[in-house]
Amino acid sequence: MAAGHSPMEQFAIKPLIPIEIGGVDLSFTNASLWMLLAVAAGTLLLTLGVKRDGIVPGRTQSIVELMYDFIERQTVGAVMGESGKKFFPFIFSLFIFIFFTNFLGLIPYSFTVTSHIIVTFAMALSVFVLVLAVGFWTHGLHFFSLFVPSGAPAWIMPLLVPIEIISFLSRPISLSVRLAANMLAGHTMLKVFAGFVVTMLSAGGILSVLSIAPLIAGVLVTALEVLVAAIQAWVFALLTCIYLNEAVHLHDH
Amino acid sequence: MRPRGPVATTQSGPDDDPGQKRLDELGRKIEAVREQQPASKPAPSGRLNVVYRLSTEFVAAVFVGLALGWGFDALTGWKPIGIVVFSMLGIGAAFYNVFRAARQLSAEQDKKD
Repeated sequence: MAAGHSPMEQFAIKPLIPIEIGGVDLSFTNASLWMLLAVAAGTLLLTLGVKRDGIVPGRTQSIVELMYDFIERQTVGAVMGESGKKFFPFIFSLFIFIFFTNFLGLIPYSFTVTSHIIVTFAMALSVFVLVLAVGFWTHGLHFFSLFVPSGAPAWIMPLLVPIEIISFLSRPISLSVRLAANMLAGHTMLKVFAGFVVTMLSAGGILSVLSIAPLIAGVLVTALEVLVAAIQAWVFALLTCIYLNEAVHLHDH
Repeated sequence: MRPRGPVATTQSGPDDDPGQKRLDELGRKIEAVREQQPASKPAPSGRLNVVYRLSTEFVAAVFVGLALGWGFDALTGWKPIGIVVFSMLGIGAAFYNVFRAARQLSAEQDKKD
């Protein structure tokens, strides 16, 4: 890594196969490539995991069953109960996609799709639209009662209803910013520590001996990032469940 | 499929019936152990995770309030009123968001204990 490289350079979008249709840039970029790889890796793991459905599971099958159980029973089931069954495929797909894009992004020289807010925002927006659709589908116009807090006196409503609406509108933003900011911050931190190691080593003298410190920090941050990659994928799935649950059962929150 | 562990010593051979019985028994034992344990918890929510969650909830609501106010002003031409009123509401919603997220987090914590 040359000294001139900025720690943000890893997030640059580079077109791999330039495509332009009607003046719109539809290039196949490094982001597209790593999204495809994430889908391929997820599909591969899940397919391999269920191929030999042994009663005593092998390693791959155990991993797949753990993931499935984790989302099915401990996340969707725990938050939504029976009503969550029909949303499980959507939530599990979201989880697997985010999980794999996060983890593939940890490989050196790879690209972290989820560090781009446009990607996470697109996912958060699809959740938002689904929540609206489910809400209006199950409750019709009664869905608007979600914005009227129960048990509050009537005179305070003109203040509380706008607050509830703003709070509702802020969900896709907080959902997407949280994931993207986590990935962005973690990967920038990794690159900065790695950059310190190189700079200190090339400085020579006592500094090259001390370069062990940022190296250790880098290793620890890598471990933390593995944890963050998994937790953030789960948090996204969990909050999706919470939001959907609210749309299905108004006012249980 | 090759069974592993202690099961392998007794479960060899093609006879399915005793194997099935042993499996059922094992299933019952696992269920019994599971019931004794407290309700299983999803991943640990670390301190950093909590900080991220609360801060994004806060910032997002303020941002939405500002955006609504700006849009309101642009539509109506009442220049400062919209952005003042809606950013106040946004800050209110921000505190409300944080309060609600904190309540969810503590509910998760309670389930863990």
